Amino acid sequence: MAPVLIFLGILALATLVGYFWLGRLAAGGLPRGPQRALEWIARVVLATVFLWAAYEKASDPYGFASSIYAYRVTPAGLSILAGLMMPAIEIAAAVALLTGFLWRGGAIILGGLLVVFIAALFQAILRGIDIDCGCFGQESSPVSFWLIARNFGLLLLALFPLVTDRRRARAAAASRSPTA
Amino acid sequence: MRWWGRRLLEVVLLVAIGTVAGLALNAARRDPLPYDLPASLLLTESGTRVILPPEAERLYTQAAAVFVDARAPGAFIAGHIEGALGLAPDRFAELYPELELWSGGMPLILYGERGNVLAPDDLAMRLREAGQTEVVLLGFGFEGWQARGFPTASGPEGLLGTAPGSAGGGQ
Repeated sequence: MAPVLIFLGILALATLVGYFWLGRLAAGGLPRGPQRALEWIARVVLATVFLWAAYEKASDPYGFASSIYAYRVTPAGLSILAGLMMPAIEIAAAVALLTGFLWRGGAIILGGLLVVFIAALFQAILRGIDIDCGCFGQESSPVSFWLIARNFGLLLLALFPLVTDRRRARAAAASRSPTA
Repeated sequence: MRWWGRRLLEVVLLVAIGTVAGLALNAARRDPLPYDLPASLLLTESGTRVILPPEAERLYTQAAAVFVDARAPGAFIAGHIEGALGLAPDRFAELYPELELWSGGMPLILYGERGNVLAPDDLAMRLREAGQTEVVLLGFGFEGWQARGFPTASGPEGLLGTAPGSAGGGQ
């Protein structure tokens, strides 16, 4: 149990540090051009990973529904529904990130899904359920802490453009307000 | 607050688009995934993957797998998937060498009676222990296959452990 807690502590710390570092960047730590480029790269990388994963999952909905059910969190009916809906929602969110249309909503959805994936992986490890993660359809690896770490990394990619955008929106609102 | 309000709207819109697209895509598939699959077809005791009749039929047509009937010999003789090998689970140790010979290292699709995945699932576990790496179960069993009008046969041909040379090889 202790190594698990230490591992999660390190991950949480890394996420916090990452979050504040992103915040500093957003507050003007980097010139505008490179910062926008970094945001764009984060969006493209995140969207590409999810498009690939969604394609794999959507091409075998039955296998993916089985993978979801194997986590022993959702009943059969809900696993099937999730198996059908999730890849399409991931594609919609990834396309939003790439095109810029509703991209903030897309980043929130993918970030939220990553939090769910992290929780599902974590409970599977704690309960000793030895399964494939189902992350990329049939091309999946066994549930492990490495996968949790990978999802934390992807979560940062979702948070980065959102945090910087939120800061910019706040700064713009402050500069417009008469008290500023 | 306004920022979050807008984001919530975007999230709802994208989730709605994804949900409708996902369900519509399934409905448009040649073999839509049924919403009411029993849990036993999603996850078996041994963790063996289950395939549904349409996928099994594709493998049958491509002759890419060997079907193994895990029911009692009487049920096999009365009717089985065409080209299947009959392997009574209670004679596994005795019949396995014969199965190995006839299946020629091809992937195995195990089936039993509809609603009873336990017998083929147990057999799947023993086959894996014996060294077979590609073993899957056929969802809905023989009755599911038959109900779709896929090819069946009757008689003892293919039943392992009967007369020498009686197994008819796999499809």
